[in-house]
Amino acid sequence: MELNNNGQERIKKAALLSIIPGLGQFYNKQPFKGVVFLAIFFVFIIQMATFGIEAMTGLFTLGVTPGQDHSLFMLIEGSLQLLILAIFLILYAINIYDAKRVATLASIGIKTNKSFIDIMKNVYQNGFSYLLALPAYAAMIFAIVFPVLVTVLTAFTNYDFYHIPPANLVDWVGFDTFKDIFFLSSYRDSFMAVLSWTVIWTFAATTLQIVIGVFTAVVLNQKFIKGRRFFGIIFLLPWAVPAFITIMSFSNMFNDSIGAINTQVIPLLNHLPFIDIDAISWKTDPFWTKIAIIMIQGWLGFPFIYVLVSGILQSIPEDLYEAAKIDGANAIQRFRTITMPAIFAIATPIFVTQYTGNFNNFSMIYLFNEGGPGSVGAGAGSTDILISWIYKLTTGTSPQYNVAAAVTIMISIIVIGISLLVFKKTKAFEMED
Amino acid sequence: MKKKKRNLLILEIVGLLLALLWLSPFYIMIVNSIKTKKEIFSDVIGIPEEWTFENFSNAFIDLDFIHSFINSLIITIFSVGIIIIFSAMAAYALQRNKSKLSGMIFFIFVAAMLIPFQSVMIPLVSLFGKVEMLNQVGLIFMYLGFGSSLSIFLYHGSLSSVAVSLDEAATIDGANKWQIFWRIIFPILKPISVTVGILNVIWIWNDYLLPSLVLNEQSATIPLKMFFFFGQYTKQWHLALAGLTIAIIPVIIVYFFAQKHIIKGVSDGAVK
Repeated sequence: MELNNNGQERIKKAALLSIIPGLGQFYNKQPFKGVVFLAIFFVFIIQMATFGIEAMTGLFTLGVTPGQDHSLFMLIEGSLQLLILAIFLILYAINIYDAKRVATLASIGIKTNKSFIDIMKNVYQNGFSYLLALPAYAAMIFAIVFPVLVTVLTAFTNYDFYHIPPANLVDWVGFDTFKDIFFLSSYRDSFMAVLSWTVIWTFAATTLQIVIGVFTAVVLNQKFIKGRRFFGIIFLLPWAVPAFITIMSFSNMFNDSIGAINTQVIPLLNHLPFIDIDAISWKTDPFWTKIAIIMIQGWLGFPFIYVLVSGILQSIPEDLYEAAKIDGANAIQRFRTITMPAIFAIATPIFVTQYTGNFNNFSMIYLFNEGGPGSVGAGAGSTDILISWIYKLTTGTSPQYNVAAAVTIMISIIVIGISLLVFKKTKAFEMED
Repeated sequence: MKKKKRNLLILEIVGLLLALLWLSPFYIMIVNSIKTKKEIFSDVIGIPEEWTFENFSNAFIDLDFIHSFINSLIITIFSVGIIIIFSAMAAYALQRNKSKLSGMIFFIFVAAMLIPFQSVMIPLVSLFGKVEMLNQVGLIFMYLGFGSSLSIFLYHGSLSSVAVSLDEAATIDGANKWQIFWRIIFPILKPISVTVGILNVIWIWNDYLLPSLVLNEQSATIPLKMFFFFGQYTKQWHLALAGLTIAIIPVIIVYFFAQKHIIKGVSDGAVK
């Protein structure tokens, strides 16, 4: 569409005027919209003057007088102010965009809504979908985005047990915490030990539960097995029990001296011919603790996979197998060429969530043996994974919130990066139909 | 033929053995809930020599069962109801509106699903404490925040198989967007709503860490009360196991009525 000079002028003027929100809309003869934008602008100015400026400077200095300024609250208020600022900036951009758009429409002669009712109708029609998403989005901003923002900021401070507000001040230290984790040998060694066990744990435990789950599903879903539904019901029963109780019961059963495994199950097995096992130090030998938690997680985690894969198996058409049989494929070949691809095509995103879930499986590690036995330095036990280490760093007697925050950032980048890569490759993330 | 039959029998037996092994913790729970405190330490696996049902009445009183059951029920019903309604709405909005902005919002929702709770819990609690929201309302709000990402992810997936032509047909018939969502789309989403509901009920009903940070003694849920049996020095397994047996009875009742939906729900969530 060709615009004459007059129109160009008009658009420019509307955009320029909306540097003060609302004026552009007045120029476009939409007084109602103008009043709304102007009102938002004034509310923001007043908010800035009464609370905002102080909060922003507080975020910058993190307090000047020890004992009086509470650095943590200043950090939180400052982050809140950052959020408010971000929301205002988005509205500001909408304001300029709106003024420009309406001016463009007017200059090419399209009638625009002038009256209050027409504008409300228009907002309802086009903005409705964003309105629908608003409640969930608001809850998520306050429950997740905001705490994440505070955590990210904390990673760049020296907030640890030497600097506990309000008695002491917390200061910005830039990337020092990250440098410490990578270059200070005491931190680096514990970080590397925890990280490598986290990776081993994630792969071993999750793969185990997927293998058991797929295996039982494939076996128990053979046509001739009776009572398939019965197995499904039984395998789901543990969901009725809070996880912390299941894990603590296991923890009790694996106790070195009084646990049922060592005092009753192993002696019972020793009655069998050719079997002679000594009591195993499940809680004091890191190797056996690791074996125990991987086994328990396999046990706890496979039913979900079982139910999931059962559903998928029932959706594979029977004639595929018939055809393969006629072509002379044996059971293993049929499994490899028909069953496996079907399972992976559908369940890969869920499998990935299982891996990320175990990467952050706090309850299993912490409740079984509190990350112990022993220590790999910096407060971490020999079976601690990153998330339980973070928990110890923030809730222990000598908390180190900055290190915990820095580790959190690294974990999140790893987990989100890998998951999104896989989601993108599978159809779970397709935006178009 | 004979050989095949024998193989089948072996498979059945293996399956049954697995199921039995799987059930053993439940056996241990029930058997030990009727033992005395002393006998639990001497013999975990065996059948009790004398049966005591005192544990149950003691646990019932210690748990303040009726009160904490109602607390759990309120939290779970409101949280899950709100999660289902708001995530379905949000997913519908984001799935039908194919702009860059809604793509980005969806991306943030999915990324939030992967943030570990333990790493954000301290700022979360201090923020909610500052605005005096460390109560049941605040807890329900937090559950909405933490639960909506996975729920939106699931709804989003199953919405892509609901034809847009349905929306268009309804628009021609004069329905507005609000009516389209509630009368047409939401009923179609019922199977995935069941999945979302079940996953969230399991999580919220059994959750310990978040309520322990938010709720006070008065509004404690069943898992919170249960934790008091596990003191620092004295673990009262006889009471804990009896309490657990009481606490899972309502769950098992619900479970047997809903099991068809649960199993179908879990697999539908993935297959669709």
